[in-house]
Amino acid sequence: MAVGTFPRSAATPAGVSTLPLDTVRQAIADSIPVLIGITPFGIVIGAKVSDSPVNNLAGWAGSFLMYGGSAHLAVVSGLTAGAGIVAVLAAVIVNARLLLYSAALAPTFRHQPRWFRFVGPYFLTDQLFALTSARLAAGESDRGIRWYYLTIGIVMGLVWVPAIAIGVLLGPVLPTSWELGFAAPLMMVGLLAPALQNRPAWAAAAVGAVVAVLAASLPQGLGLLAGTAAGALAGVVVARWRGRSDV
Amino acid sequence: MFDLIVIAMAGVATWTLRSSFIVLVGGRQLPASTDEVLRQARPAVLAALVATAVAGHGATFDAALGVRLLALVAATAVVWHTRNLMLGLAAGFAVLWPVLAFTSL
Repeated sequence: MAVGTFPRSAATPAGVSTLPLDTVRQAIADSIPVLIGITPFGIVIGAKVSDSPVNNLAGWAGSFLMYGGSAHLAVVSGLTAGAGIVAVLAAVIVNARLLLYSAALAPTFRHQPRWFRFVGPYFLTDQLFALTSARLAAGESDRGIRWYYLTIGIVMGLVWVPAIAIGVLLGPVLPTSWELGFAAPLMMVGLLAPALQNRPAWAAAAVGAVVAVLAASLPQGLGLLAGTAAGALAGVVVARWRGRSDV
Repeated sequence: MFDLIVIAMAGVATWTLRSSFIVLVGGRQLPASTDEVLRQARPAVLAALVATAVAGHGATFDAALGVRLLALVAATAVVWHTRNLMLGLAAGFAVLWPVLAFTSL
């Protein structure tokens, strides 16, 4: 199939193929390290679901309803703490970075067919954003990037959804003395660690943790909400204060 | 059923975040003030979730909590240096398991 028949693929440098089959093959190759990373993550989330009071089927359904580990973990932890709407809010805050990815990819999606502009965002994750950005920087065509993006999104889903199911099924079989439920807070500090680059982030985390514990007896996960709000406020205040003192 | 509704709502909210600039606003930038609050809210909510899970509701500071906090610090330090979530998880359990094996915490 002649590549030149697609008007928008004019700027295709040497070495970047726009033939779908090659693109699909490259997408699968590029996704392998990602798949190795998300498989244990998914199993741990599944094990956490089975270890929590959250309904197993609902907890597993989060794998395709939410399609993202950190927010999934946040919702399950929120539900465990007795939250409802606050658990949804926690997921939104954890996933707020997706707004930035969405904004960054918007110019690319503008040239895409309508169906892809609705289906594509469903698959948008940290890993897919990173791989797609690299591919775009290498000068991939609109048609090529669509195949590349969809292939990685689908392949990741094909690994992610069963991985969480395996975790849910494995959970009750594993000895309770292993304390695998503790994997959830360990994972969450792991997700938190890269954000601790500056004092505002440290302040936000410290105040968030302390206030959440002090307010933990509030019903409906309001302690979580209080901790998050107080932490974010502390972070903003420290950022503003530092910004002013630096001038 | 309640769990499923909450998770489905989180799913719809997540799709909305993912598609916002692609489907709805079409290429505009996030306001700077919103960006700043969201940037600080992420570490706050993650820390709040961890703290509630480990020390929430009626927990007292004892050796059992102490060793878990130590495991969390180890996991944080390892991920901070390596950027590898699974190594952090391994470090946390490497602190927790030997203590659990030899004590009754």
